[in-house]
Amino acid sequence: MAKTDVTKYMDSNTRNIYNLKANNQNLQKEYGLTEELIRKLSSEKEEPEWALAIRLKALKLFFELEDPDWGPDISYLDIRNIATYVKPVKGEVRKWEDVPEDIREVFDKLGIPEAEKQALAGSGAQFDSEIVYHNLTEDLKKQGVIYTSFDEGLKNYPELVKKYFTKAVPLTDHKYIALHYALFSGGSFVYIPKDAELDRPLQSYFRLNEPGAGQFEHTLIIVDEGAKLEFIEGCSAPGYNELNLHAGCVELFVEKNASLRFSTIENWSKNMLNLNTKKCYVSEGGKIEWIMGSFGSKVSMLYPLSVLNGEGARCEFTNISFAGSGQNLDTGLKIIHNAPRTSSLVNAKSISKDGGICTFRSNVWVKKQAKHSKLSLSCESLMLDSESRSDTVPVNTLETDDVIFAHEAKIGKISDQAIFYLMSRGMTEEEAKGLIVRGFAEPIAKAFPVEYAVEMNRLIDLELEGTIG
Amino acid sequence: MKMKLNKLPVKTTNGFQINDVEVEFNIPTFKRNTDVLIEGDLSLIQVKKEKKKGDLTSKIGLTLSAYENIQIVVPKGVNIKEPIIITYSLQKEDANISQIEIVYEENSSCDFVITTKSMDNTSCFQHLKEMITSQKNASGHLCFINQMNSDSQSFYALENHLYQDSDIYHTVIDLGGKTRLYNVYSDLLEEQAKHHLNTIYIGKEDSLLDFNYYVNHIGIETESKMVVEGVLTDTSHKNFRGTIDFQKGCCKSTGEENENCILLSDTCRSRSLPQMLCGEEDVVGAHGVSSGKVEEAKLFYLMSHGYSEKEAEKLIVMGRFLGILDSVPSQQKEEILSVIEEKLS
Repeated sequence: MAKTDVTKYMDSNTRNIYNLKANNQNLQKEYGLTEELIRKLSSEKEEPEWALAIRLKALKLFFELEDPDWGPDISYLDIRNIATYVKPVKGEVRKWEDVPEDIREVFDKLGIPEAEKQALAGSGAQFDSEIVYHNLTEDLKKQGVIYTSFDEGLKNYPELVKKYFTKAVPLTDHKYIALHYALFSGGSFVYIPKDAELDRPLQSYFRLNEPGAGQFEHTLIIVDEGAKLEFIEGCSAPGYNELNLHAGCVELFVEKNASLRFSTIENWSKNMLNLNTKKCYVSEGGKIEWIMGSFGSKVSMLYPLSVLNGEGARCEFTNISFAGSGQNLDTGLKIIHNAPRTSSLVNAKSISKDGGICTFRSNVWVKKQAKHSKLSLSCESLMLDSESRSDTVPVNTLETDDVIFAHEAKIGKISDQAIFYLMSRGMTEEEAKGLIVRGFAEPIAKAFPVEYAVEMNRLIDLELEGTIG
Repeated sequence: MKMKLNKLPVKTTNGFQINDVEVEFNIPTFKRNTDVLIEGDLSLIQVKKEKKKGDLTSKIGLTLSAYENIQIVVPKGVNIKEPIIITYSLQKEDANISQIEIVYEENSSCDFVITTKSMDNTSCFQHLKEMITSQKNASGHLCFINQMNSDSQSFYALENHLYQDSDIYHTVIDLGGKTRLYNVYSDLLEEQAKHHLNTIYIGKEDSLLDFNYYVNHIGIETESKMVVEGVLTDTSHKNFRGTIDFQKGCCKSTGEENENCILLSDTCRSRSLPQMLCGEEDVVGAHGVSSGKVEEAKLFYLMSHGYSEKEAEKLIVMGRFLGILDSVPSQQKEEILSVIEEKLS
């Protein structure tokens, strides 16, 4: 039995439940990045030959591709110092009671089993490199819904996985997606059959516990024709002095007239490099809705891509980033309008304080064939002090005249008049500023499922604690 | 030869295809002195014209040797009411490599209209750089009009260094050329320096237009505004990069950029990057971009009053341009309007 030692990390800036640490001694831990490790990983997972071939090709590409020469500096990342595979000795289970005690205690404190009981149709939990728990309600299983770990998906539904795997995000996309494909482990595989509608969301929670470790989970979701799904992704990690790496990948396929709402609350610790890649292909009449809250990590580089491939396909993107001391959150989006009558609606907000850097980077491309398309993009940035930075880098390309396109952005500070007004109503300056920041974030919080809106507000409160209110 | 020019001040991902523009051209050989005419009341300003052998380097990324230099000093306290007109007339495959240096001394003011014109149908080349230094409380309106023919290549660079309370208003009217690259770099160095930059462009046939504007807010209470209005037809391509950079310490500054592009064909391409970089909390920055074809409701209204679709389109485009053209001296304005009308017909 693993020795249990769950303690709270008492750093004043990050004092919260997310810093719970499980002192798990029963681990299989591998460092470095070699062909030998890749072969061992694939063999232990009993993968088909084609999956190993992808891993080996990706390994080669990782060493060939260059680091990005734009955006935040990540040149200090040395993959040799990252534990590229960390596996709890006990495998994936279907009952919370069977999850190792120390790991279960962390998830209990994060409220994951409770959320499953109350509001979810299914949930999964990943600890370091492997899924430790996965479950789906019986009625959905009967409807043909598949919700399992990605590794299990690869084993049990190889043909379905092969059809979609790497098709949205190719190996050559960038250096760290090549790293991901060399080391992918854990994540979720979801298939929603034709016309199935889930009345409650599915949720996967990713926890990176080990200091100096990497997490490379792969999430593949296929929402078949006419089906509807809400998927929630949560991420967190306790803080350490060592660098952690998250290079996950999300591939989403929304088929004809289907819809997918993909919500993420990301609260990685501030020693984490978050180099995640997300892409979604949307077919005729389909809809993808991204709702994202980025609060954690030392550096984030995350730009979900939506490819609107079928006539009438839609994309809605709602995002908030909050960068505090030592954080550089370079986030944004990419949308390709590839078919007629497609539409996209973007609402992005960022808050930076205590030297934090927020960058909104976007690329919206309306192809020649995307006639009668409509796009509306809005981004707002709030700076809470002059030690921080807030940059907006939105690129827009139109290749057809038959399009309605509007983009607007604003950068500014909290209005002195608003503070004066609230103070004249009896608030202290700190309370007034806190209220305004929460009001700024409110339209985004509203887009989240209610439990996550509460979590998001709690994260904002934690970020503001000791700063302005 | 092919060169990557007009580089973005802060690089973004290469996949966005906006970091620079690749242009193919032959480095021109100097053939003859381009005709340049300077008109207006020159009695109160100092004008020096000379030929220089050294390199003319601009922020476009071009370095070309042997150029004509015009140095103009508007002395302290001198205010000139009528604009000074500088006209470059290009013909016979001219290569116009020129620089205009204008120094506004304290409390001076003077307006300039700088025009480059093709006098025949030969393919000409131009690399023109303007360097403006505006000292305390000086002001001026500089209007640059590009009327090169559709076979010509034009590279225009403007550098501004603006000191306390100076107020420089710049208008770029782009009416011709096969390849047209514009680079404007403005340092707002001291308190209350102000730079307004307005642009009109018309892209026709297979022309390439590339704008790279950068305003650097350094002093406190500085102000910048960019307004870009354009129309693209045929297979023309346009890139617009507008960067407002608020440096730490430039408190109470404001920066605004607006770009509107009307697309009149489904084979043209418009790309824009209205970029804001902000290292200071106490500023107000805003940008807006809109693109698309002419609004149908407006077309319908005008057509219901007897205009043909083409005429109605032209009227709407002209209406968008008039706000900027109102700041151009009336003589040039009439000429510009007739050229625009002809180009839109």
